[in-house]
Amino acid sequence: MKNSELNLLGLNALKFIAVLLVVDFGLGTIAERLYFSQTTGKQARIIASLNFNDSELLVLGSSHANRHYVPEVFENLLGFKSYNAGVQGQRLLFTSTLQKMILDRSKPKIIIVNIDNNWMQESQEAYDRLSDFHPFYWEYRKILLPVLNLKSTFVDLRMSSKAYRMNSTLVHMAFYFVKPQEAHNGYLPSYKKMALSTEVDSDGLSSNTEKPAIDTNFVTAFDEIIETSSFNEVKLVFVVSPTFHVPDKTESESMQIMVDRIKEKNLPFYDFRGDSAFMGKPNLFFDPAHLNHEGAVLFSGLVAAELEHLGLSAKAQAGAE
Amino acid sequence: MLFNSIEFALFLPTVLLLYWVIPSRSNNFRNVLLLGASYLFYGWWDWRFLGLIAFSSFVDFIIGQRLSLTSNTRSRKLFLTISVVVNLGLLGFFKYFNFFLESLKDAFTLFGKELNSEHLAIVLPVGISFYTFQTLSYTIDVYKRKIVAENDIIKFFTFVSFFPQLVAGPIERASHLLPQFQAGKTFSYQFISEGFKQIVWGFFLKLVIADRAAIYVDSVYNNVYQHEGLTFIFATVLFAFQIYGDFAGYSLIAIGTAKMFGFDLMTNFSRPYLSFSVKEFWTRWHISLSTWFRDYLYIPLGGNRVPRPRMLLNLFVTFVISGLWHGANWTFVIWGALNGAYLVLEILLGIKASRNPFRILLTFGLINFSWIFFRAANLQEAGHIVSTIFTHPGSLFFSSESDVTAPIYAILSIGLLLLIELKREFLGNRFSITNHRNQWVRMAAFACIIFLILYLGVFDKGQFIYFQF
Repeated sequence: MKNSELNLLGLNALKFIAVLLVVDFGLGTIAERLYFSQTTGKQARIIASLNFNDSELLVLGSSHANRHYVPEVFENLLGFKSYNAGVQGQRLLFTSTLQKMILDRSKPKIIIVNIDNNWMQESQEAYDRLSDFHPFYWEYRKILLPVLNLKSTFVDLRMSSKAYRMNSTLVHMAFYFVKPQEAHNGYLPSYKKMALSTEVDSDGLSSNTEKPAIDTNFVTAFDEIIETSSFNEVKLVFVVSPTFHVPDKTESESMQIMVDRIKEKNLPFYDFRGDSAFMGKPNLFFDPAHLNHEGAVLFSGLVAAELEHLGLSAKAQAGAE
Repeated sequence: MLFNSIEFALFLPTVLLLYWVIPSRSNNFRNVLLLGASYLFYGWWDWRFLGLIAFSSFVDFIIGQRLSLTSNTRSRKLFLTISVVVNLGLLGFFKYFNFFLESLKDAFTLFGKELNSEHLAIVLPVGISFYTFQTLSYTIDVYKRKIVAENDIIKFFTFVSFFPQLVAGPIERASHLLPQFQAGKTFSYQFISEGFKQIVWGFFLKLVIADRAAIYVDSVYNNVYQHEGLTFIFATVLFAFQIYGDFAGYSLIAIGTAKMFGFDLMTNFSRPYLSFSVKEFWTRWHISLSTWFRDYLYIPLGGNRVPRPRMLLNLFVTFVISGLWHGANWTFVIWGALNGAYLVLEILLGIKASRNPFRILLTFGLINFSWIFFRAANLQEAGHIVSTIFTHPGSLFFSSESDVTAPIYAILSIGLLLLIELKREFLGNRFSITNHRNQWVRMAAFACIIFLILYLGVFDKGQFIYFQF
């Protein structure tokens, strides 16, 4: 190797790395500012649930949580300040991690976890969608590193780039800036009514004829939800949302694992699948797996009544104290 | 090993450093290093197939030697036949055995008979179609006395398995690539700089264009009975850019990687969607394969030297076989046949590539129609898509609620690509910031491309489409 060529390479490589760092820092800072200034959309709700949430009652889960629990109903019936931290498209690993991140900053009294039938089943998406946490990496590194390490390598190195941390956030920001979403303390209402011709979607509630494998990381994540709540002395309640169609409760190994663990720990569990108040009533759903606002208000009232029955209301707790 | 993997990010600098540390006079050691690195790269997927590539290389090396030693026409033909039979036999067995078996069964069923036979669980070795064609071209060229046989077995084995282009091309010719293993190259900053630029642009095409488009395309093409005509049209246009970004991206990464070692690989794509005719498209799309079929199939069939009807038939047959090369499925055969038919029609109608922008759109539309067959899982689904486009245009499915941004990203990134390609096509290097005189401007431009890859790219996603061929 010629020394002059090697020196040229070394010098230009250093120059280029410097330029790259400046570009990443400069444009990345703009992207970061834009990200954390969002006030509407899924990302804004995640930011709010982590940074501006001091609720006493917290709801966790997927879109079924996000669409079905009306914080206002819980506040009115139980007297607890409530927040809905359910996130569309997310599953157990995300929920468990989000719970740890929220509890790192605030201490709610009650957490309702809305569980989905397929949460224990293998899913690459469940790992891929952890990227929703990337913008928060350095703030919550202790919690996030072990989770992101499950399927990724060199996590610290990847996260050192602002561009990578803010990956795939641009269009989301622009989209919801142009088309803001109506949300109430995290709850996302839909006022549509389901058309009777709508087919069952594959959003976790339809039964599956094959038996997908169980991911042990998800089983661990479920156990961690219980342990984290117990450690932080937060009351934990598990709920399964209502469905429009008759559910097949016999086939799901995934659900059975969760139910067994809940029973083992003697935790409250309410299964609304097949509940006659909802099943087959299109006026309460906007699609076969999601309640509309009317359905969500009714459902939240029923869950709140169960919590009150357990003595989990502000009034009951004040009396106990 | 995938180009878009952490393993490759460690592998490449290591091999590169070792390669250039070896003095240029020790070219044999460099070739041994490249051979070892190439076998490691290939064996990373499945080490069992290393035997296959070694066997294929060995057969063609020996046959090359034999061809150079004899001038007897019959013997030479025999040696060539052995090479063709062995190479195409391996390809046929691994890639087409089950397809032909299934087609035979269907043919028997058509005549009311039943053929009882079991499918073999055959795993398709990655890149077999590419290296088979590369090594075959060597033997044919030696047979035709276009090149002399290679006497150095290490050099020859490295030529067949050269890792940058081993699994998805460009399919190199021995006359172009083999001599490059001979030359005692000296390290140049330009090798690294030029190679790096190609790699960066390749990753942009793969991660920002192809993988973004793939999210929407897969959601439509994996559920064809749930969508309407407009959705199919939109998904197919996105697929056109997905496959372009995927394959041209891979080719550029391959070309850039080879460049870092001082090797020049042939250009494989040249802004194909800006073609004014289908004929022109095929001079810009997968150039290494198109020219391979031209030189080793179309011309030997008679090329342009035969009567016009025969020439048109040759052209059509070449495209049908080219379709089959892409995959063991009738959808690929139809894709090839459609492209062959387009070319035949262009010739029959006397259509020349006039510089009318409308022609670009027409060509793009025709190519897109053929992509339906390329992407569809089977002929039934392709038929359903085509009939739905014409009978139920319906409304455009934008996206599911959980991933509303996927098509917007795809449109945004494709728009960016089109702007860049239009500028390059019609303005050349004018207003180019990646070729600016000022080094800092050039560096900033590439830093911005890397930023865009990290900011807009899709990570932790699948491998390159062309690996399956």
